[in-house]
Amino acid sequence: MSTWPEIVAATLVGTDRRPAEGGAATLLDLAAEHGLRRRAGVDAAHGVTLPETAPDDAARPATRAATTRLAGLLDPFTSIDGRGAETRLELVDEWLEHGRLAAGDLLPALLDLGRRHRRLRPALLAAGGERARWLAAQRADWRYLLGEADERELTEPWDLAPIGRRIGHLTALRRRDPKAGRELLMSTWNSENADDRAALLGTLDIGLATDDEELLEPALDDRRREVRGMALDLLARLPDSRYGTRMAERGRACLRPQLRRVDVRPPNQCDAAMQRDGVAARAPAGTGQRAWWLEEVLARTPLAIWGSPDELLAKQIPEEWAGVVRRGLGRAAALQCAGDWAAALVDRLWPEATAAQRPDDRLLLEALYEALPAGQRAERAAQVLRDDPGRATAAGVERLLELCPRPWPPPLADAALGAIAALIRGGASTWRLAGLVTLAGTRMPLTVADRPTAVAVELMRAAFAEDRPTDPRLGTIDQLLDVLRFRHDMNEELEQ
Amino acid sequence: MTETEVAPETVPWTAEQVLALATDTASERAARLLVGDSRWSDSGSAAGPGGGVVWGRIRGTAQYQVIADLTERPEYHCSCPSRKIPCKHVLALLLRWAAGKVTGSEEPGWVHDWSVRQAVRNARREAGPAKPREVNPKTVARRADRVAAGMAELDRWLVDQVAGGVANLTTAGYEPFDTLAARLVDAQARGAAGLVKRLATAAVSGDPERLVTELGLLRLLAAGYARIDELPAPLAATVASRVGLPVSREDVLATPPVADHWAVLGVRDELDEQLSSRRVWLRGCGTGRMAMILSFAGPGQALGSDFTAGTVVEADLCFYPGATPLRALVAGRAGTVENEPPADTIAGALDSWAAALAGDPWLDRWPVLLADVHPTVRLEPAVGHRNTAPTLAHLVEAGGDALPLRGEHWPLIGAAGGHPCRVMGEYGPGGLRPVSAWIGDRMVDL
Repeated sequence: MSTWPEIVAATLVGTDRRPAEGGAATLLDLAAEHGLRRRAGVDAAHGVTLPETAPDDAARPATRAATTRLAGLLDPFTSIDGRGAETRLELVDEWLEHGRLAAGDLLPALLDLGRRHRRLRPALLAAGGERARWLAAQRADWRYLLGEADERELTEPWDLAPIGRRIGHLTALRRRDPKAGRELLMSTWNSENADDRAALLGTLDIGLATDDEELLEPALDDRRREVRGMALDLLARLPDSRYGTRMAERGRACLRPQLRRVDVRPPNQCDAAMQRDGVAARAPAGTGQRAWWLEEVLARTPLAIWGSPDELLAKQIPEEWAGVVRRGLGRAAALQCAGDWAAALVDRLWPEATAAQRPDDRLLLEALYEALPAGQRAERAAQVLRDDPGRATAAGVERLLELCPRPWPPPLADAALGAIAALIRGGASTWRLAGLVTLAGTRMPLTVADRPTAVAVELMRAAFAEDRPTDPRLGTIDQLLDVLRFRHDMNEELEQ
Repeated sequence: MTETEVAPETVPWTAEQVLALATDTASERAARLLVGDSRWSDSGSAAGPGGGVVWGRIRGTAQYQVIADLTERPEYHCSCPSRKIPCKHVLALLLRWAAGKVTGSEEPGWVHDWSVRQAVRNARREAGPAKPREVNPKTVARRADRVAAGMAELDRWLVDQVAGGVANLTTAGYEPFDTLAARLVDAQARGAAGLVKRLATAAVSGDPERLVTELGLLRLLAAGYARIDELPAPLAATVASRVGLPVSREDVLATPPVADHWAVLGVRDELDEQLSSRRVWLRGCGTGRMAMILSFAGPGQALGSDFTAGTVVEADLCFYPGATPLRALVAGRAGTVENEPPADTIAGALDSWAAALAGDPWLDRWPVLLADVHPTVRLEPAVGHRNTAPTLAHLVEAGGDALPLRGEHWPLIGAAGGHPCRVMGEYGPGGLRPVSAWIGDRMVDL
């Protein structure tokens, strides 16, 4: 017994079954000798090709302190006081937005984060520089960075590629040439399985045009509910489609604007054709059947047929239907991303929503916020916070604040500080404060009206602490202060 | 923990020194958030050796009294409920002190009270172990018997396994190994117990060659211990330490020290519920010797932090005896200096690994410092050895010689960007685990 494979085999089998010279003890000694010789005598690998080097970056690298801070934010094992995953993500995003180059050793963690959180990607593209792109090219799940639309051609035939790559390819194609994308999808549409149909249909969202009804209209008869739903949502954004025309006709039958008032005639039935077009036949519990049909029809009727929002909404609507009509139009505004309608309806729905505190109303408001033109969101959020901070949370103001650009413009920052102060003074519970405070921490500008925000918050705290030194709400303000200070230091490090 | 001579003058520490005290990164980050002026009151410091005493009151969830006594035997006190020592408040206080924001010097009553209590406690502690520990020869003999019995049992166990065939060990899970390891711990052969745990990992890894090698190495240890009296002194010391016989600090510090400029190549922590360990890897700039300072900490305690990675320290090290000396204690230390340690080629590093194994066959990691290697990921699978998964990441030299990387390699790949750099890592069977890299003038902790 003199070769390593023989020794390994003999040891595995055992000397009882296959006796060896000298017995088990000698075999073990041989194992030590040969095993060690192999371990010590290991040779380097040869002929490994040198890597291609990453191109140089022109942007300025971040300072050492800033790099250390980013490393801390990325370390999954550190828990930072009062900082949820969401806050941490916002802070990383803020770091990246400065455009200073992130250190190469941190890029893998950033690329992993960007894979899960799309909103980090634009900033990561800048702060990662050439090095990030060089790295991304070496790992399949980081390739997203090389262009949100990965323009690489599929290496296999269109219908055989994995679904993720097909969606990527189709998305890119839609961006470049919507018609070609639609035709590619139609070429295999009938042989796709149901899951793939739903996933692929979603790409029509990009470059959506009336011509797409060629595919969407037949999809209304699809066996799979998800596919039908997707087709309906897309069609509802195409007022000139056949679908739009049908819904306009139904809408006009229900709502008849007169000179000063609006005649409301809810549908008397919900026939098969209506159901095919997405009108749900069965009303949810607590809603009248006809009222529900009315809401459903209005939600899918092209808003363009009503003229301008103010024109319609200024007219008198019979009391018993007014709420239903507003909800239907509200849903239409959200679905069709109609900013002017959303703005007009938010004001009208807000009092109802905050008074009744129904979750549905809150969801609808949140959907309308999303449809608001970007410029109006901050203004409206400020208004909501100023008007009635106590009720603002009930009306989903957090969602609206989330949609506002970061950092918040001065009027909004001002209003938010005011609202926090008012809520604390008014004895709001800490959980009600928490949402607003968490958002304020990461999104507030660091200075408001030439004064550091942290100082303003300090003053607020001091004033409150004087009266109620042991109030638990002080802890909430401290959290806000901590985050503001953290950001202040971070920005200083990034500007050095 | 290592003894270090610190000049008896009161120089506020640097922020790095302070943060090195942190038991974990969580308290480190928490401390950074607590440095604001608004929270602190009543703070001040008194000069003394090492840094003197620093105190302050912080407004956290309640008011806390925070004291850091940085004299010879550092003590950290805080009235908060945290069980970490030092807690985030102490760290924050010291950070403020490092930043020059602690200005007072009038010692408030509560600080005075505390130092009096502390003095009493210290006096009692000193009085306690005052009588020199007498070593009872009977105890020593009894211990030697137990270890010898334990090692003999280990040897029998190994022979039994090989007689029955070790193939079934690969599917037996950890249990047989845990039982054996526990017996060895009882026999006061902790080192051997650790090697049995390593054997268990090899057994479940599904690599029979590794299992057979580890079995052979354990047999080598048992056989070596059986005739330890016949071995040359350095080898006997290695065997004794691998079995787990303790070596006193005094004995180590009595060996002739090695004076050099020691470059701190990297710090590697292994955190564990019960016992955390920290390895500080050093290399002598003049001698080229590798050294490791090992420190331990129980739950909530801070790991020793006398070395900052990337610095070069003028110091005297005393090595633990052995045929491949590596672990060392600091016998004396001056300040930091400007110097650079020698770095090796891949062939040179592998030679040093082979030489190290010749002295200590039970080594499973050996520090290497490589010059001008390009970290790379091969996109196509390599044609590997039988039974080993192809390694895709390598450190490659300009000539094409390469070492495989193990562990997390992407941060190193990203840091280097394909350019050659200096890399320090722990080499062991299977490849090199990167610890730090030097990119331009920045040292990257991996």
